[in-house]
Amino acid sequence: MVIDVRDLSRRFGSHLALSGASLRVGPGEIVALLGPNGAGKTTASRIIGGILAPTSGDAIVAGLSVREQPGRVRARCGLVPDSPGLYERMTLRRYLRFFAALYDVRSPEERIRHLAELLGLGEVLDRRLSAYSRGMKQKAAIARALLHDPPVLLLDEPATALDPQMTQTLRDLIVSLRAQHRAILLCTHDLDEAQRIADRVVIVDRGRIVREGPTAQLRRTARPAFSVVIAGDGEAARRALQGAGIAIEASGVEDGHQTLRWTTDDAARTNSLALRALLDGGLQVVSLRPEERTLEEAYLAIIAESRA
Amino acid sequence: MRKAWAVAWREMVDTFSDRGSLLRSLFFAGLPVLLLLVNRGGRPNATLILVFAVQAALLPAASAVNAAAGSFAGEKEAQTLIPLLAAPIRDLDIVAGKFAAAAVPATALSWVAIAVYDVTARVLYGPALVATALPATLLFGLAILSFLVVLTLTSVVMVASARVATQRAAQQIGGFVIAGFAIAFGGLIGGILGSDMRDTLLIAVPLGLLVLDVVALELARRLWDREEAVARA
Repeated sequence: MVIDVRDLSRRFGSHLALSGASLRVGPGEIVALLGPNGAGKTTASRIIGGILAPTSGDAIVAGLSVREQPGRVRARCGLVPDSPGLYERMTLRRYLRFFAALYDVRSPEERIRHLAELLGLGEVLDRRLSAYSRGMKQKAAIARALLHDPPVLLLDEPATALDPQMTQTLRDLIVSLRAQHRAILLCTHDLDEAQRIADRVVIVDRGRIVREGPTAQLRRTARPAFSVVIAGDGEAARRALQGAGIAIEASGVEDGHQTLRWTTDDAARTNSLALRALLDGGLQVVSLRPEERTLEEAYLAIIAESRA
Repeated sequence: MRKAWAVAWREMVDTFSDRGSLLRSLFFAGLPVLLLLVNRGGRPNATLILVFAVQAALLPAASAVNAAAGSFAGEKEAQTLIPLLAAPIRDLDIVAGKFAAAAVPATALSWVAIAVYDVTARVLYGPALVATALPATLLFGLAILSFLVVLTLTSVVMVASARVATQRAAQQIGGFVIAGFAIAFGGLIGGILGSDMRDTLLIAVPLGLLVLDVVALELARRLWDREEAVARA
């Protein structure tokens, strides 16, 4: 494992930002740390990156303990925060030269040129960073993070405020970095992003890790959902289902027909009840089908469960 | 200390690539010379030459406040502090680099201002009068004094900068420190001019400042805390 977090806790005064968190990220793996704002994602990534010290527990990053050798851990991590955080009066070349000096990069000019070309910034290398668009600034931050060719990448909400096209470019880039056998920890609250590029998802809430696993597995852990398509009076269908004790979670229209949706832990019993109630009510059922649960639904269910 | 120098150089280039900041510093450095030129029609006056010389030494020193205020608070506001703290650089190198970035230009500007002022005064009033009003020992004392004032201002404002949220708040604290110095030096000039203890005062004041600097630097070292900076960033 490139990142091995063991029972990590961090306290800020009386506030426990992270409590007994454990997670692992292997080489060539993207793990998404998902959670609402203030859940502890950024704190976790800053501890793993050797920026903050843990209150208890430890994280072994590229074979080094963040508790014992934070400086050497920092040399093995590349961090992309949610805000690019650039010195905007500098040109990209000078900016990267500065960080190359801090990271002891050998042949910095060659590396800077290579990264600028890789990220499509070759032509603006000598332009002031203040003149860059938001997307270009984020790419500059990624160039800074990759400057010393780190085995670990910590991406904290990297797609914040990017347009869809730029977000897609960024995703492609992250996936290409995984192919270079880097361990990538992606902190995000963008479930779509996590679903698209992460191999595994770790859900964190109120400083605790509440669930962990591949996205497909997490989706299966949520209550199964079903939807029925009705030809006819939607309101009558709703009344019939409610009369059978089935709580409708969502409704809509599909191809001119009313759709109604519910979740259940006992599909055989609930769906039989639903069909009987609808048919007894003189309604025509076009279809009854299981719903593919999205990661968002699974995530919301997991968060609600952890807070219950 | 190679990384400390990299931090210092970046900050100095950044500060002086802001034209407003550069012009402000040059204005304060040149103000005493300007005052001399405005007064050249009047009767040559040793007191005036001395008062303007103290200003030439201390006004540029105050430019350290702006740079020191921006050292941490400015980076927090611009959200540039986290990438810096994420780099493999020791806390001591960060603090030393930022300290040098604020203190070195202010000290250099102050010394250049004293030299330019001295030359201008000699041209305007003649070497004999200026040698009496500003003997070499006094000029040297003023240079040391400006250096010590820069050290004090930089360390106090840097500590404030690391612990407040905005650059403006750090500058305001720096403003209070400058006001304290202004009152102290007003009294000092009065003391030098009006007392026969001029030589004693000229030794006692720098010594007092030196003690203050040692305390302020130690405070800066103790109070600057990476954890605190990250938590507030």
